[in-house]
Amino acid sequence: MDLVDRIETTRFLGSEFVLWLWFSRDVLGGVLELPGRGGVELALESPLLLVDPVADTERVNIRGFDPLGSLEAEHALLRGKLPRKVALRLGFQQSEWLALLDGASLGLSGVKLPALLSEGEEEHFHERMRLLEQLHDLVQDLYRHFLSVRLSPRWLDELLPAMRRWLRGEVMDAEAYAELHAPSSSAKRRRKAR
Amino acid sequence: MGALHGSLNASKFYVEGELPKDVRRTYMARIQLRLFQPLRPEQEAEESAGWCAVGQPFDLDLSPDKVFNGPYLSLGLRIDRYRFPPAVVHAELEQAAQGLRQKRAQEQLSRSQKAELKQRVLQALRRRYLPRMQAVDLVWNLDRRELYFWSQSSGLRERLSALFELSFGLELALDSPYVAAARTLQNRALEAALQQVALSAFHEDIRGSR
Repeated sequence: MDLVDRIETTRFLGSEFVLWLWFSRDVLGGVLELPGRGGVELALESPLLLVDPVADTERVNIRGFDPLGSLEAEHALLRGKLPRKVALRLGFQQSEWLALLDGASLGLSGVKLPALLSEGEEEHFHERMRLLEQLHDLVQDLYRHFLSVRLSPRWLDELLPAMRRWLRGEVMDAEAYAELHAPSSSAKRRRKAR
Repeated sequence: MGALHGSLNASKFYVEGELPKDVRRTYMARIQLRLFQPLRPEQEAEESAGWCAVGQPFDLDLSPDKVFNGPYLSLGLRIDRYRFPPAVVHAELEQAAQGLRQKRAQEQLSRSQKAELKQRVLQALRRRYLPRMQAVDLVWNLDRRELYFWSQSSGLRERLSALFELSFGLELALDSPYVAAARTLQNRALEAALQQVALSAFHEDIRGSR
Protein backbone atom coordinates (compact mmCIF):
# COMPACT_ATOMS: atom_id res chain seq x y z
CA MET A 1 0.00 0.00 0.00
CA ASP A 2 1.48 3.38 -0.93
CA LEU A 3 1.73 6.39 1.36
CA VAL A 4 -1.32 8.20 -0.05
CA ASP A 5 -3.51 5.10 0.51
CA ARG A 6 -2.13 4.65 4.00
CA ILE A 7 -2.93 8.29 4.84
CA GLU A 8 -6.49 7.91 3.54
CA THR A 9 -7.18 4.53 5.15
CA THR A 10 -5.96 5.55 8.62
CA ARG A 11 -7.96 8.76 9.01
CA PHE A 12 -10.19 6.88 11.47
CA LEU A 13 -7.31 7.12 13.98
CA GLY A 14 -8.12 10.82 14.35
CA SER A 15 -11.77 10.08 15.18
CA GLU A 16 -10.73 7.37 17.62
CA PHE A 17 -8.39 9.94 19.18
CA VAL A 18 -11.29 12.38 19.66
CA LEU A 19 -13.37 9.58 21.23
CA TRP A 20 -10.43 8.76 23.52
CA LEU A 21 -10.25 12.45 24.56
CA TRP A 22 -13.95 12.26 25.40
CA PHE A 23 -13.47 9.02 27.36
CA SER A 24 -10.41 10.46 29.18
CA ARG A 25 -12.29 13.62 30.10
CA ASP A 26 -15.08 11.53 31.66
CA VAL A 27 -12.67 9.27 33.55
CA LEU A 28 -10.28 11.96 34.78
CA GLY A 29 -12.65 14.85 35.28
CA GLY A 30 -10.92 17.04 32.73
CA VAL A 31 -7.22 16.95 33.67
CA LEU A 32 -4.88 14.63 31.76
CA GLU A 33 -1.37 13.92 32.93
CA LEU A 34 0.96 13.90 29.95
CA PRO A 35 4.32 12.16 30.35
CA GLY A 36 7.10 14.73 30.63
CA ARG A 37 4.69 17.65 30.52
CA GLY A 38 2.31 17.47 33.46
CA GLY A 39 -1.37 18.25 33.74
CA VAL A 40 -3.36 19.51 30.75
CA GLU A 41 -6.90 20.75 31.32
CA LEU A 42 -9.27 19.46 28.68
CA ALA A 43 -12.83 20.46 27.82
CA LEU A 44 -14.87 19.39 24.78
CA GLU A 45 -17.54 21.81 23.63
CA SER A 46 -20.03 22.71 20.91
CA PRO A 47 -20.10 22.07 17.99
CA LEU A 48 -19.82 18.29 17.81
CA LEU A 49 -19.93 16.36 14.54
CA LEU A 50 -20.28 12.58 14.58
CA VAL A 51 -19.73 10.58 11.39
CA ASP A 52 -20.10 6.92 10.53
CA PRO A 53 -16.53 5.76 9.77
CA VAL A 54 -17.70 3.45 6.99
CA ALA A 55 -20.46 5.66 5.52
CA ASP A 56 -19.21 9.23 5.37
CA THR A 57 -22.60 10.73 4.50
CA GLU A 58 -24.13 9.43 7.74
CA ARG A 59 -23.59 12.46 9.97
CA VAL A 60 -25.00 14.00 13.12
CA ASN A 61 -24.14 17.63 13.83
CA ILE A 62 -24.94 18.82 17.36
CA ARG A 63 -24.72 22.40 18.58
CA GLY A 64 -25.79 24.14 21.74
CA PHE A 65 -25.06 23.57 25.40
CA ASP A 66 -23.17 20.35 26.27
CA PRO A 67 -23.57 18.45 22.98
CA LEU A 68 -21.46 15.60 24.36
CA GLY A 69 -24.03 14.97 27.07
CA SER A 70 -26.98 14.99 24.67
CA LEU A 71 -29.18 12.06 23.76
CA GLU A 72 -28.37 12.59 20.05
CA ALA A 73 -24.67 12.09 20.77
CA GLU A 74 -25.37 8.99 22.84
CA HIS A 75 -27.54 7.46 20.13
CA ALA A 76 -25.01 8.31 17.41
CA LEU A 77 -22.20 6.61 19.35
CA LEU A 78 -24.33 3.55 20.01
CA ARG A 79 -25.06 3.32 16.29
CA GLY A 80 -21.34 3.21 15.53
CA LYS A 81 -20.66 6.84 14.64
CA LEU A 82 -17.42 8.40 15.83
CA PRO A 83 -16.76 12.04 16.74
CA ARG A 84 -15.15 13.74 13.72
CA LYS A 85 -15.07 17.39 14.85
CA VAL A 86 -15.34 19.01 18.24
CA ALA A 87 -14.41 22.31 19.85
CA LEU A 88 -11.41 21.65 22.07
CA ARG A 89 -10.50 23.88 25.00
CA LEU A 90 -7.04 23.22 26.41
CA GLY A 91 -5.48 24.78 29.49
CA PHE A 92 -1.80 24.49 30.25
CA GLN A 93 0.33 26.51 32.66
CA GLN A 94 -2.24 29.27 33.10
CA SER A 95 -2.82 29.66 29.36
CA GLU A 96 -5.96 28.61 27.53
CA TRP A 97 -6.58 27.81 23.87
CA LEU A 98 -9.81 27.09 22.01
CA ALA A 99 -9.94 25.46 18.56
CA LEU A 100 -12.10 23.24 16.39
CA LEU A 101 -10.32 19.89 16.09
CA ASP A 102 -10.94 17.87 12.93
CA GLY A 103 -10.18 14.23 13.61
CA ALA A 104 -9.91 13.33 9.92
CA SER A 105 -6.98 15.67 9.37
CA LEU A 106 -5.89 16.55 12.93
CA GLY A 107 -6.35 20.12 11.68
CA LEU A 108 -7.12 22.96 14.06
CA SER A 109 -9.27 25.82 12.82
CA GLY A 110 -10.83 28.91 14.38
CA VAL A 111 -8.01 28.93 16.91
CA LYS A 112 -8.35 31.34 19.81
CA LEU A 113 -5.02 31.95 21.49
CA PRO A 114 -4.41 33.09 25.06
CA ALA A 115 -4.27 36.88 25.38
CA LEU A 116 -1.17 38.31 23.70
CA LEU A 117 0.97 40.37 26.03
CA SER A 118 3.72 41.65 23.75
CA GLU A 119 3.85 45.07 22.12
CA GLY A 120 5.36 45.92 18.77
CA GLU A 121 4.64 44.15 15.49
CA GLU A 122 7.64 41.81 15.51
CA GLU A 123 7.18 40.69 19.13
CA HIS A 124 3.45 40.29 18.51
CA PHE A 125 4.15 38.01 15.52
CA HIS A 126 6.65 35.92 17.51
CA GLU A 127 4.27 35.49 20.44
CA ARG A 128 1.38 34.60 18.13
CA MET A 129 3.43 31.95 16.36
CA ARG A 130 4.87 30.58 19.61
CA LEU A 131 1.37 30.17 21.07
CA LEU A 132 0.07 28.55 17.89
CA GLU A 133 2.99 26.10 17.90
CA GLN A 134 2.44 25.43 21.60
CA LEU A 135 -1.18 24.46 20.91
CA HIS A 136 -0.15 22.11 18.11
CA ASP A 137 2.49 20.59 20.41
CA LEU A 138 -0.12 19.97 23.11
CA VAL A 139 -2.43 18.23 20.64
CA GLN A 140 0.52 16.26 19.24
CA ASP A 141 1.51 15.13 22.76
CA LEU A 142 -2.05 14.08 23.54
CA TYR A 143 -2.14 12.15 20.25
CA ARG A 144 1.18 10.48 21.04
CA HIS A 145 -0.16 9.49 24.46
CA PHE A 146 -3.24 7.97 22.82
CA LEU A 147 -1.12 6.12 20.23
CA SER A 148 1.14 4.65 22.91
CA VAL A 149 -1.85 2.56 24.00
CA ARG A 150 -3.78 2.41 20.71
CA LEU A 151 -0.90 0.71 18.91
CA SER A 152 0.06 -1.61 21.77
CA PRO A 153 -1.47 -4.95 22.86
CA ARG A 154 -3.09 -3.00 25.76
CA TRP A 155 -5.59 -1.59 23.27
CA LEU A 156 -7.40 -4.83 22.45
CA ASP A 157 -6.82 -6.35 25.87
CA GLU A 158 -7.79 -3.45 28.10
CA LEU A 159 -8.55 0.00 26.71
CA LEU A 160 -11.01 -0.93 23.95
CA PRO A 161 -13.09 -3.10 26.34
CA ALA A 162 -12.99 -0.25 28.90
CA MET A 163 -14.21 2.24 26.26
CA ARG A 164 -17.01 -0.16 25.27
CA ARG A 165 -18.04 -0.40 28.91
CA TRP A 166 -17.92 3.40 29.12
CA LEU A 167 -20.32 3.58 26.18
CA ARG A 168 -22.67 1.40 28.24
CA GLY A 169 -22.40 3.85 31.11
CA GLU A 170 -19.63 2.29 33.18
CA VAL A 171 -16.83 4.78 33.82
CA MET A 172 -13.35 3.40 34.36
CA ASP A 173 -11.55 3.95 37.63
CA ALA A 174 -9.00 6.81 37.35
CA GLU A 175 -6.26 4.71 38.92
CA ALA A 176 -6.82 1.89 36.45
CA TYR A 177 -6.73 4.47 33.64
CA ALA A 178 -3.41 5.84 34.89
CA GLU A 179 -1.91 2.36 35.08
CA LEU A 180 -3.16 1.49 31.62
CA HIS A 181 -1.62 4.66 30.20
CA ALA A 182 1.68 4.41 32.06
CA PRO A 183 4.76 3.65 29.92
CA SER A 184 4.53 -0.06 29.06
CA SER A 185 7.60 -1.12 31.10
CA SER A 186 6.37 0.41 34.37
CA ALA A 187 2.84 -0.91 33.82
CA LYS A 188 4.25 -4.42 33.34
CA ARG A 189 6.27 -4.07 36.52
CA ARG A 190 3.20 -3.06 38.48
CA ARG A 191 1.14 -5.92 37.07
CA LYS A 192 3.87 -8.43 37.96
CA ALA A 193 4.11 -7.04 41.47
CA ARG A 194 0.43 -7.81 42.08
CA MET B 1 -6.90 37.37 8.13
CA GLY B 2 -3.54 35.70 8.20
CA ALA B 3 -0.25 35.20 9.91
CA LEU B 4 -0.03 38.68 11.38
CA HIS B 5 -3.62 39.41 12.46
CA GLY B 6 -7.06 37.89 12.66
CA SER B 7 -8.34 34.37 13.02
CA LEU B 8 -6.06 31.36 12.91
CA ASN B 9 -7.30 28.92 10.31
CA ALA B 10 -4.05 27.45 9.15
CA SER B 11 -3.14 24.10 7.63
CA LYS B 12 -0.03 22.52 9.08
CA PHE B 13 2.63 20.93 6.89
CA TYR B 14 5.87 19.15 7.67
CA VAL B 15 8.81 20.12 5.46
CA GLU B 16 10.71 17.11 4.14
CA GLY B 17 14.38 17.37 3.17
CA GLU B 18 17.58 19.12 4.12
CA LEU B 19 18.04 22.88 4.23
CA PRO B 20 21.02 24.46 2.45
CA LYS B 21 23.94 25.80 4.49
CA ASP B 22 23.41 29.45 3.65
CA VAL B 23 19.65 29.45 4.05
CA ARG B 24 19.02 33.20 3.81
CA ARG B 25 21.05 33.85 0.67
CA THR B 26 20.03 30.66 -1.11
CA TYR B 27 16.35 31.03 -0.36
CA MET B 28 16.19 34.75 -1.14
CA ALA B 29 17.59 34.00 -4.61
CA ARG B 30 15.08 31.19 -5.12
CA ILE B 31 12.17 33.32 -3.91
CA GLN B 32 13.12 36.07 -6.37
CA LEU B 33 12.91 33.52 -9.21
CA ARG B 34 9.31 32.71 -8.30
CA LEU B 35 8.17 36.19 -7.34
CA PHE B 36 4.60 37.01 -8.31
CA GLN B 37 4.36 38.54 -11.80
CA PRO B 38 1.22 40.67 -12.36
CA LEU B 39 -1.04 39.70 -15.26
CA ARG B 40 -1.06 42.00 -18.28
CA PRO B 41 -4.10 42.28 -20.57
CA GLU B 42 -1.99 42.08 -23.75
CA GLN B 43 -0.62 38.69 -22.70
CA GLU B 44 -2.63 35.51 -23.15
CA ALA B 45 -2.02 34.20 -19.62
CA GLU B 46 -5.24 33.99 -17.62
CA GLU B 47 -3.55 33.18 -14.33
CA SER B 48 -0.35 34.03 -12.46
CA ALA B 49 0.98 32.66 -9.17
CA GLY B 50 4.05 33.53 -7.11
CA TRP B 51 5.43 34.90 -3.86
CA CYS B 52 4.67 38.27 -2.29
CA ALA B 53 5.30 39.79 1.14
CA VAL B 54 3.41 38.20 4.03
CA GLY B 55 0.19 40.12 4.70
CA GLN B 56 0.99 42.52 1.80
CA PRO B 57 -0.13 41.10 -1.56
CA PHE B 58 0.94 44.24 -3.45
CA ASP B 59 4.43 44.29 -1.96
CA LEU B 60 6.62 42.43 -4.44
CA ASP B 61 9.86 44.08 -3.38
CA LEU B 62 11.03 41.31 -1.07
CA SER B 63 14.12 41.71 1.08
CA PRO B 64 15.59 39.40 3.77
CA ASP B 65 14.17 41.71 6.47
CA LYS B 66 10.65 41.16 5.18
CA VAL B 67 11.05 37.41 4.69
CA PHE B 68 13.14 36.23 7.65
CA ASN B 69 12.15 36.85 11.24
CA GLY B 70 13.98 34.76 13.88
CA PRO B 71 13.47 31.09 12.98
CA TYR B 72 10.58 31.97 10.65
CA LEU B 73 10.44 32.43 6.90
CA SER B 74 7.22 34.25 6.02
CA LEU B 75 5.71 34.79 2.57
CA GLY B 76 2.41 35.31 0.85
CA LEU B 77 1.25 33.06 -1.97
CA ARG B 78 -0.52 35.31 -4.47
CA ILE B 79 -2.66 33.95 -7.28
CA ASP B 80 -4.35 36.31 -9.76
CA ARG B 81 -6.85 34.92 -12.22
CA TYR B 82 -9.09 36.43 -14.87
CA ARG B 83 -12.61 35.11 -14.46
CA PHE B 84 -15.26 36.36 -16.86
CA PRO B 85 -18.93 35.53 -16.48
CA PRO B 86 -19.71 32.91 -19.17
CA ALA B 87 -22.83 34.85 -20.22
CA VAL B 88 -20.71 37.98 -20.86
CA VAL B 89 -18.14 36.03 -22.90
CA HIS B 90 -20.93 34.43 -24.94
CA ALA B 91 -22.71 37.74 -25.60
CA GLU B 92 -19.47 39.54 -26.56
CA LEU B 93 -18.49 36.70 -28.89
CA GLU B 94 -21.91 36.68 -30.54
CA GLN B 95 -21.80 40.43 -31.10
CA ALA B 96 -18.26 40.33 -32.52
CA ALA B 97 -19.11 37.39 -34.79
CA GLN B 98 -22.16 39.19 -36.13
CA GLY B 99 -20.05 42.30 -36.88
CA LEU B 100 -17.40 40.24 -38.69
CA ARG B 101 -19.96 38.32 -40.73
CA GLN B 102 -21.52 41.58 -41.90
CA LYS B 103 -18.15 43.18 -42.63
CA ARG B 104 -16.92 40.21 -44.69
CA ALA B 105 -20.36 39.41 -46.13
CA GLN B 106 -19.98 35.81 -44.95
CA GLU B 107 -22.79 33.57 -43.74
CA GLN B 108 -20.49 31.40 -41.65
CA LEU B 109 -17.12 32.09 -40.05
CA SER B 110 -14.28 29.63 -40.48
CA ARG B 111 -12.80 27.79 -37.53
CA SER B 112 -9.64 29.95 -37.57
CA GLN B 113 -11.73 33.14 -37.75
CA LYS B 114 -13.71 32.01 -34.71
CA ALA B 115 -10.53 31.20 -32.77
CA GLU B 116 -8.98 34.56 -33.64
CA LEU B 117 -12.20 36.34 -32.70
CA LYS B 118 -12.29 34.60 -29.33
CA GLN B 119 -8.74 35.72 -28.58
CA ARG B 120 -9.64 39.31 -29.50
CA VAL B 121 -12.77 39.23 -27.31
CA LEU B 122 -10.87 37.77 -24.32
CA GLN B 123 -8.13 40.38 -24.71
CA ALA B 124 -10.75 43.14 -24.75
CA LEU B 125 -12.35 41.65 -21.63
CA ARG B 126 -8.94 41.51 -19.89
CA ARG B 127 -8.67 45.27 -20.48
CA ARG B 128 -12.10 45.88 -18.97
CA TYR B 129 -12.00 43.52 -15.99
CA LEU B 130 -9.53 43.34 -13.13
CA PRO B 131 -8.16 39.88 -12.31
CA ARG B 132 -9.46 38.22 -9.18
CA MET B 133 -6.74 38.17 -6.52
CA GLN B 134 -6.12 35.63 -3.79
CA ALA B 135 -3.28 35.93 -1.30
CA VAL B 136 -2.59 33.43 1.46
CA ASP B 137 0.07 33.80 4.15
CA LEU B 138 2.53 31.11 5.10
CA VAL B 139 4.99 30.92 7.97
CA TRP B 140 7.73 28.29 7.90
CA ASN B 141 9.63 27.55 11.10
CA LEU B 142 13.01 26.56 9.68
CA ASP B 143 14.20 25.03 12.97
CA ARG B 144 11.14 22.86 13.49
CA ARG B 145 10.65 22.09 9.77
CA GLU B 146 6.97 22.96 10.11
CA LEU B 147 4.95 25.28 7.94
CA TYR B 148 1.58 26.93 8.57
CA PHE B 149 -0.51 27.98 5.57
CA TRP B 150 -3.52 30.20 6.19
CA SER B 151 -6.02 28.26 4.12
CA GLN B 152 -7.92 24.99 4.45
CA SER B 153 -8.72 24.82 0.72
CA SER B 154 -7.38 21.63 -0.89
CA GLY B 155 -6.91 23.44 -4.21
CA LEU B 156 -4.80 26.18 -2.63
CA ARG B 157 -2.83 23.64 -0.62
CA GLU B 158 -1.97 21.82 -3.85
CA ARG B 159 -0.88 25.09 -5.47
CA LEU B 160 1.31 25.83 -2.46
CA SER B 161 2.92 22.38 -2.51
CA ALA B 162 3.75 22.69 -6.21
CA LEU B 163 5.21 26.20 -5.97
CA PHE B 164 7.05 25.37 -2.74
CA GLU B 165 8.73 22.34 -4.30
CA LEU B 166 9.71 24.34 -7.38
CA SER B 167 11.08 27.18 -5.24
CA PHE B 168 12.89 25.35 -2.47
CA GLY B 169 13.37 21.81 -3.79
CA LEU B 170 11.64 20.42 -0.68
CA GLU B 171 8.41 18.49 -0.30
CA LEU B 172 5.52 19.33 1.98
CA ALA B 173 3.60 16.66 3.90
CA LEU B 174 0.18 17.78 5.06
CA ASP B 175 -0.61 16.88 8.66
CA SER B 176 -2.93 13.87 9.07
CA PRO B 177 -3.44 11.12 11.64
CA TYR B 178 -1.00 8.87 9.76
CA VAL B 179 1.68 11.51 9.05
CA ALA B 180 1.57 12.80 12.65
CA ALA B 181 1.79 9.24 13.99
CA ALA B 182 4.70 8.30 11.73
CA ARG B 183 6.60 11.42 12.84
CA THR B 184 5.86 11.12 16.52
CA LEU B 185 6.49 7.43 17.19
CA GLN B 186 9.90 6.59 18.56
CA ASN B 187 9.31 2.93 19.16
CA ARG B 188 9.76 0.28 16.48
CA ALA B 189 6.97 -1.92 17.81
CA LEU B 190 4.52 0.99 17.63
CA GLU B 191 5.76 1.95 14.15
CA ALA B 192 5.16 -1.63 12.97
CA ALA B 193 1.71 -1.63 14.59
CA LEU B 194 0.87 1.62 12.75
CA GLN B 195 1.30 -0.18 9.42
CA GLN B 196 -1.25 -2.82 10.46
CA VAL B 197 -3.73 -0.72 12.41
CA ALA B 198 -7.43 -1.22 11.61
CA LEU B 199 -10.64 0.49 12.67
CA SER B 200 -12.04 -0.70 16.01
CA ALA B 201 -15.71 -1.29 16.68
CA PHE B 202 -16.68 0.54 19.85
CA HIS B 203 -20.36 -0.24 19.79
CA GLU B 204 -20.01 -4.03 19.56
CA ASP B 205 -22.29 -6.01 21.84
CA ILE B 206 -23.88 -2.90 23.24
CA ARG B 207 -27.41 -3.45 24.35
CA GLY B 208 -27.83 -0.78 27.00
CA SER B 209 -27.14 2.91 26.88
CA ARG B 210 -24.51 5.30 28.26
